[in-house]
Amino acid sequence: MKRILVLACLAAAACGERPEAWDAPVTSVTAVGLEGSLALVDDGAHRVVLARPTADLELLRTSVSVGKGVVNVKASADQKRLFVLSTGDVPKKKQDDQGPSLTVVDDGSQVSRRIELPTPLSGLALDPAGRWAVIFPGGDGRAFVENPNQLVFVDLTAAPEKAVTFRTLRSFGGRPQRLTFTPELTLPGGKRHLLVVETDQDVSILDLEHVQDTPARPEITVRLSNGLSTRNLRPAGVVADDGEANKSDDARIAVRMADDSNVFLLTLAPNPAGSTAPNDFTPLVNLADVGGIASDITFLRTDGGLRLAALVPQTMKAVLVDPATSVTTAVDLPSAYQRVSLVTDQVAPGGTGDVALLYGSTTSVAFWALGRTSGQPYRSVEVVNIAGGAAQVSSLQAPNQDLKVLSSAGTGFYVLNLKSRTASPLTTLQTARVVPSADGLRLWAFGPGTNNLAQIPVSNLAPLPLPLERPIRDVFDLKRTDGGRALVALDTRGTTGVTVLDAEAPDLRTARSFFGLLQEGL
Amino acid sequence: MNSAVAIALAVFLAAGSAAAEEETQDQPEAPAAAGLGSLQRFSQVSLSLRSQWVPNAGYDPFAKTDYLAAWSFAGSRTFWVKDRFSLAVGLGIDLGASSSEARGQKASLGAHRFTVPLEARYHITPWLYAFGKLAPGPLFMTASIKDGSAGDQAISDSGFVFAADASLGAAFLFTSRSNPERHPPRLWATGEWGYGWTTSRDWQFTPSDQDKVTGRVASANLGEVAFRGTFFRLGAALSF
Repeated sequence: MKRILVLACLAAAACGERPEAWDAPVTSVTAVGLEGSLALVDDGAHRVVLARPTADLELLRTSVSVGKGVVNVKASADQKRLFVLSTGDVPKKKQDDQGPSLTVVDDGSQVSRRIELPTPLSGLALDPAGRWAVIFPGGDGRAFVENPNQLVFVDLTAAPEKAVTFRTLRSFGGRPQRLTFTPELTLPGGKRHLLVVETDQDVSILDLEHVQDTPARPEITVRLSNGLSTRNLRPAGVVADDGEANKSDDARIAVRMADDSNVFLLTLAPNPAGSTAPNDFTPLVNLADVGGIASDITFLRTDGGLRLAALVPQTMKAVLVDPATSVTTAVDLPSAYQRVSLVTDQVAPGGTGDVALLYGSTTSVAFWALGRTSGQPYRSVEVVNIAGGAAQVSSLQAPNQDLKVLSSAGTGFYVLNLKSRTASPLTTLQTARVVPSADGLRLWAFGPGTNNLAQIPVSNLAPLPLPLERPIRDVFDLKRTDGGRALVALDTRGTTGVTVLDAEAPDLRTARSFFGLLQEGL
Repeated sequence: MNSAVAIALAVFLAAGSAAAEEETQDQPEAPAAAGLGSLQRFSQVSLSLRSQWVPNAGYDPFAKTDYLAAWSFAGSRTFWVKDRFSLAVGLGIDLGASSSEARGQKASLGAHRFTVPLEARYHITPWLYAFGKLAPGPLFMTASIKDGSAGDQAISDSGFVFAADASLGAAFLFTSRSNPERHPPRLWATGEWGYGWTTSRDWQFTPSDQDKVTGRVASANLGEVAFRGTFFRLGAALSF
């Protein structure tokens, strides 16, 4: 018997081994909702599993290969493409080891293309206009030596061999913290999209139309100092505005500071006559002291023209800055609002002044109308009281774009009607997350980690409880293959399961439950 | 299941043995020139270890390699003899099992063959014969994965496929070779090599208690499985 066992062992040793993916446990799953698919990033198997709901609430599952070592995953702004950034094998030790790559998966056709990258980086910023992906060091300390100012530009419209452009920002000691793509701006040299890179001490502006030029057209770096000390200031956010449509010298970028009461206004003006500067615009820098650290800024239109509005919670004021003169006008607010969002198109389209929604961790939100009345630089501040604050505001899509969901870390949330300026409370037994559907017709509320799920039709705000038998990590309201909609509730225990409901007429009896999704297709 | 098969095997062997005794009385001439006496005509039970190579993707969740081990139990009875040749028929059971971790989840599998082996033997000497065997029959497969996505239950699947083995081998007698006309218990060492084949079937895993599941249950499809591949079997047989 001993000999038999030895022979059996020898036979076992001689047998082929299974694919490595079977030995890779499913430890953490990144799930991203695309327009019509749920994308599950299965790093252990170097793939993305796309699950598309059908009319019968089945899921069509396909698998797309991605690079090893996934470090960042993002969906495009229109949710039609998924971007998966991978480091490959680090370090590369063998001839067939993988290099870093960016895989782009199209939701509609479910085809992918992989773009090889020159260096493994983990930060990923996507152009809302869909042309550029910019890869930058994410500061996660993976490499022994890393240049934090290197950027890799991927032109998503170009052939793979011409898509990648490598740039290193000139540095004055800073390292990039945040990348912002501006909307199209009318500049002296024509219409342009810019990339604004905020480091921890300055701001750099790159002209995306010329980022692939040879020789490279350098970025413009604006060092941030208030003039009173040598201390460099730390930027905390930027906004951009094109100015008047028929003018090419009034596009502006505003920068607020994390550690200073000044805001910086950069007017993108033509170069002086005779200038040999490589860029065809130059930023004129103005500072405006708003009396405290601004928690949010936005450009808005008033009866008096364009203004930069800065919210200063510590003084409970909003400060309007004339970008042409840097003259400031303070407006007293009833609460220490931290965030501002323009809602003009929803509440007063075609009016003479913008309307802004002010919110934050306060017990009210406010509608700030910017039309001028006698004696004050704005028309009104109308307060709507809520309990628990509005740390997060979600917008609904058309046809209910005049509704917003205000939620906080507490129990309950509000549906704010921008037109009637009412806030309907909806209470929950525990902290809930609220997800608006992409068609704007309903909300989904669920308790993360619990089996509590409810659908709330926007038409009547009457919650329909839909408790599942499994803990829910996230929910996705997706377009079905027949054009209808399905709700996919994600359970990431084990190798991931989901429950699929008809989003338009949810019924637990017709729902379909799936198990072991990441065991399939290996 | 195993005890029922054992009883069937015992009844089969008893009936076969009685019939063979009658047959021996009717045909007293034995191939004396070969010195075999009536040594070719016997009942036999065997116990072996079957080692099969299953290079099939549907088997991957349940084993780190393609190796599938099984305990084989068989019984047979000679029903036809001509010179050095003889034919035997019997019943065979292979109880195969494997377990592993599939993506960090405990996975186990059973693959059990119930076959009717038809064996052709060529008796080279009184103590050695070679054989070729065909063994068709059903294979019952059952598998479960303790996947966390199903909570405290496992997801499982089971079903039958048609199976057939074709093999060649030899048996070596290592106990008494005297009295070839008599049939005292004799112990053989057996070895065979062959190919095991089955039809294929899709793995469709569902939770064991579907009443606990919301709505309709969708199965996890782990692809097609077929237990096809070469195998060898080493063991011992007792003839009488």
